[in-house]
Amino acid sequence: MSTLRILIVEDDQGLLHKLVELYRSTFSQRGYDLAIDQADTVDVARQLARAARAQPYDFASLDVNLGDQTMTGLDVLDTLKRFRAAWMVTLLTGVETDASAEHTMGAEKAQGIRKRLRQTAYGRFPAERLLVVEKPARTLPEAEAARLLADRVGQIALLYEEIGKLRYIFRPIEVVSLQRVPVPKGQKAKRKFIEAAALHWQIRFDCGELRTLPDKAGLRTLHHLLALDRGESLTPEQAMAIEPRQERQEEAVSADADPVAQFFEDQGIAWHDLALEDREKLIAAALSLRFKRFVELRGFQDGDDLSAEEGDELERLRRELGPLSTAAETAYERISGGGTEHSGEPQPPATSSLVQDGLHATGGGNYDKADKDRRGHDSTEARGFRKRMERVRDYLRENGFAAFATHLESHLMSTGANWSYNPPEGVEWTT
Amino acid sequence: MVLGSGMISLDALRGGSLADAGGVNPRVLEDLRRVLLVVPSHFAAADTLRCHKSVWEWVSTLSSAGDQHELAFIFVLPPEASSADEGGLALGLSVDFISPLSTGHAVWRQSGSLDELLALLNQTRPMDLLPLKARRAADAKRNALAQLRAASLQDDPSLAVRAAKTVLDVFAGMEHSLDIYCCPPSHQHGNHLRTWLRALVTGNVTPQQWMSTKQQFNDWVAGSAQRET
Repeated sequence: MSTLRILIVEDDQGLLHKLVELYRSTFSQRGYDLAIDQADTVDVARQLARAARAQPYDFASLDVNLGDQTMTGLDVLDTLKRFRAAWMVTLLTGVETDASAEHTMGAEKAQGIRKRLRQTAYGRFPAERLLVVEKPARTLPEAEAARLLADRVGQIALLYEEIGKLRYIFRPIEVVSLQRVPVPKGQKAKRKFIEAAALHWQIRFDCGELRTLPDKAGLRTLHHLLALDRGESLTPEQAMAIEPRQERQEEAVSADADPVAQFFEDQGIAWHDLALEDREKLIAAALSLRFKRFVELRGFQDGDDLSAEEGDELERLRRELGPLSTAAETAYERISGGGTEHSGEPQPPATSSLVQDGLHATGGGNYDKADKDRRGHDSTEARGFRKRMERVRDYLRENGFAAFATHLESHLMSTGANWSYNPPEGVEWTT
Repeated sequence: MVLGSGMISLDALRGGSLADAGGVNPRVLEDLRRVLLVVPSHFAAADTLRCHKSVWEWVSTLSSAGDQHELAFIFVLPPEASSADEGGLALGLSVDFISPLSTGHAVWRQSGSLDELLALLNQTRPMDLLPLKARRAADAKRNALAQLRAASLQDDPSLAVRAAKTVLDVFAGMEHSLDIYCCPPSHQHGNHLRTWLRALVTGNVTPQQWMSTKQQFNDWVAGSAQRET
């Protein structure tokens, strides 16, 4: 387990020491190593929260009435939120039930806080990561109060573990939208809009906000890697072939229901109203366009100049062409003159400097193939996979998940021919 | 110009900060640590406090920490500024006097020595806006004005009479300082407010007059005077 960073804020020194001991024993029993910071004033707590911007707390336990006339634990909560300095927060407070707040901040303010504590707190911090827990009443006998407090800290730790499972989210969701059907001039569309389902990725890393991204870079491959059991790995060939199960199902369903008709209906063309001759003309035109685009994209791919969108388009073309994609590939090889290069044995590098350049290349060195001279090199799939992962990282950075991208750089590894995800202990994904 | 410092005119300050071409607020104040507000001699405390508010609006927009950006704020007053001016600023910051250690603010007069100014710059503890907001939320004067504003939205003048009495009680002996809670021209609006309050508590306002004048209260008194933004 990685070290769990905890902040405990309580102005009552006796209770502060009790809480430190309770949290320490409760979390230690669950297998965590702990680093606990403590604060007994609003000021110290807010300074610690500011300082935790670079390394946020995993958990913070906050009292509300901190003996300050004007500021409260709710202001500390504000600072934790502003600096994203804590993953989960518990307001462990007696402010709703005891009269100590009146003495500290006056009747009017105390009553205001009492009435609106939960409303204010949930307005200041994400509700799914905030607990409001009542302290045992001061009127209880000491032993009874200690037993109750231990029980509540135990429940808080349990909830921390449950909620913590949502800490690193990376999962696919289907986003359905209405898209306008493109209609060629002079034709009338049967439907103006069609429902289009796209796979998006819901991502939350560390203390970042939850966001969704469309798969423009190959996030599905990454999803598969993160979801592997620890110790499992993936060959580049397997990685490149990964497609979401859902897509395959859709393909199967549409194939059963005349995929050609479905394709043209989706374009707004009244397929069933066309004469056989017209249908053949349309198929020929569509195929010709697709063959042309396929050849163009394959050229980009071989030149390592394929963008994320173009990569997706090429995959889609392959699926649409179905059995004809082999013919398209043959046509491309004939046009580009690259048939022998792809079918034959890989050629050894021309000079020793080329080998060295490869060893020093980013992410290089762990080749999945060796030639006759035992020099390492990457297969086409391994090169493609490296490229795909590079695109994923760039895309994540561009969309504000720099920490996630850096994490992948450190923990997504190639060990020779295979790729695996080896996170530090304590990281679990909801995938 | 002091090394490592930037300057902004009061007009530009009041004009508000600008987003860049992409609609994004550039984080140009990320490293801002100290602000010296040079107060012109014709400024009343109310004008200075409005500039103070504008500075915080700039900082909240142009720094990633927003209203939790820590700053040391020095008011540089003209040599002839009176202790009443300083008292007005303290009232605006909801403190009895401006302590560099506990409020994040300090006052230096231009008649003072440079050594004093440098010492103040080092002494003044940078603080964010949250403590000031908390103090203002607990400020009896602001709360009394807030109650009067709430009463001014009702049709029944008796509520307003009670609220007006409370306002005059908390401002007893310092009614002149009502100016700092008023919109510009603050002194003129302050005078209207004082007259209106006295008329209310002496029972010289008929329900008809109340209906016709209650809206004026909202024109005289700044919204943020009662509730800190």
